[in-house]
Amino acid sequence: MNEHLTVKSFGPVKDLDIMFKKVTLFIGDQGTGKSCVAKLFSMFKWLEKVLSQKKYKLSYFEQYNRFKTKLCAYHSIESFIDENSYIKFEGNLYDFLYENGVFSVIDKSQDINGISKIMYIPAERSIVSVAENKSKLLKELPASSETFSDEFVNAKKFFQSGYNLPFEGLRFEYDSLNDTGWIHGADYKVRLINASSGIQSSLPMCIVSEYLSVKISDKEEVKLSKEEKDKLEKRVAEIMQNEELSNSIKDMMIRQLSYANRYNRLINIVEEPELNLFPRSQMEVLKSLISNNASSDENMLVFTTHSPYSLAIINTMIMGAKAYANANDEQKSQIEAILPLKYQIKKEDIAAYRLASSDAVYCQTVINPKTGLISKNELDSASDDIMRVFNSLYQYYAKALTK
Amino acid sequence: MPRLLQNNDLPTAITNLRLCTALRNCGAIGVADAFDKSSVEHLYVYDDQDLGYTDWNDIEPDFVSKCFMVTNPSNNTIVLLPLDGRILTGNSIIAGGVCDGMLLTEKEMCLIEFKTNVTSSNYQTIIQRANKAIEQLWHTFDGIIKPKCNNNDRNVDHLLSVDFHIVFDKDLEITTANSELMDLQIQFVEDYKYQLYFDNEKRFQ
Repeated sequence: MNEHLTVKSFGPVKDLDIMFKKVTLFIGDQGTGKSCVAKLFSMFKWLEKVLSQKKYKLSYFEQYNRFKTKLCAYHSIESFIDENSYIKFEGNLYDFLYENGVFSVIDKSQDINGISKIMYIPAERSIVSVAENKSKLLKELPASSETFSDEFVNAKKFFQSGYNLPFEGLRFEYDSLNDTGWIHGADYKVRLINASSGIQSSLPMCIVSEYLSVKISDKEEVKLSKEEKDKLEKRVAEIMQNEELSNSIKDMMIRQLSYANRYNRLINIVEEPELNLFPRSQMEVLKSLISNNASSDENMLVFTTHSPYSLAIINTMIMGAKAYANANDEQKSQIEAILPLKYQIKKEDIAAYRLASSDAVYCQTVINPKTGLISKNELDSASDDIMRVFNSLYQYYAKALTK
Repeated sequence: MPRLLQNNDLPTAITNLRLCTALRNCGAIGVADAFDKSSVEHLYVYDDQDLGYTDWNDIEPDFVSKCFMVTNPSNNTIVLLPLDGRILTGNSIIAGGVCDGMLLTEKEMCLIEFKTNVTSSNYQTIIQRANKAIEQLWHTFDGIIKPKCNNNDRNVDHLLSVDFHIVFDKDLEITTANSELMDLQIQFVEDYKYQLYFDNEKRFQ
């Protein structure tokens, strides 16, 4: 949390300098780089994780252009690198810098306090709902989408007794025998592959987010390969047998090893949670994501959006936290009845940025510093444009009627 | 009411319609004493809560979100007629509704109803108030001004173009791309053949 990202000249991302908070959102026109920024964040958090787990040496990604061919390629953003590209990510454990074609890692020698489970949920997620048994199709997708698809399979199996979608009273059930998903409504049942686009888009997002947040809350251990287990056992033995280390130092080192193999936070990165959804359902889905995010203090949620409803909903959640903070005990319980704590967002926990290729300033915060709420922005100005066109046409129509 | 111009001569826009005669004895004060005029490029018309009737200024006020903004690029003489509470009062006159004010030039008549005291952005409240404003605007024009001008051999439709405006507080952001308000605009023009707007501004020719 409170990580700092600076990017210049990287594909659609012109010039950006931002902080990531517990909830961070990006708005802007198509092609302005929202997803690109989200992918960079996902990439650096993953890199931070694997380096802290000692799965790779620090120098591994500094060599042989692996920053481009492995890290950026995972999210299919490697073609965005040009000779002027500058990227700096200041994380909690490492600083990463890409400049003049060279990638470098600086270890900040901070204590590890757990491992992040990072999930990138792409806009094209509905494909996993319709790709039952079509593993070949999924193999054509970027690597990040394959990872999401794998977690969707895990989530379906995890919710064996069924999963309640956050809207319209719908329930998802997975027939593991036939590898078939079903959506149950009040008086109907439909196969997931035949369900509406909104359900196909939101189910994978919601079920994976909830599955992972439960895993984090349960402090699930990272699954290790046999080789990794052997390495870990060997390392533990080395520490315990080292007579030069005091018992307290041994304890601390073992604890660090433990933290490095136990998930304690979900970094959930979602493209357009509102996709294909009616506004009321957008609200329920966003509440679900915020609630999952709140299930652990260390969780983070990053999302991109085109929806003015998303902004209004987030503002409502910030308003809830502001009201709660200023309330007495009786008022607090009344506020919680309107908006439970798990849906409230403290103003210090939110960052919101607008990206605009055509503006003089490419990246601006849209949080009003006085109120802490998201202020008027480009999404609302689109309404003004719509009304201008409407009124122009209206004038012509009126003149025709009065002839 | 503060005056923007000290010259009290009746402007042509009023004399063309014979408004002083047409609206004589309709209210607490006659047209000749109530009107104000200006030819500046930008004007801010608002519902003055202290005065109790419509007023204007040529300087942008703090409460600009509640103003009806006028652009006058040709510097024509624009006349402000505060109707509700000034020129049109009395139960028999206002039965059926009266709107807040009128802006008048030699070629255009613009009737305005302010609903800037609405603080709720509740959807149903806004539509309800918009419908009420339409009643007030239409009755003022079709029930009072037009027939009284006709009685003085002045056909408003032949002399001027007429449009109608409903003003909500822009800070509520309720009049942006609202499909039901668009529908009210369409209903108004199809029923009455005049234009109705919710965009808090007008550019005079």
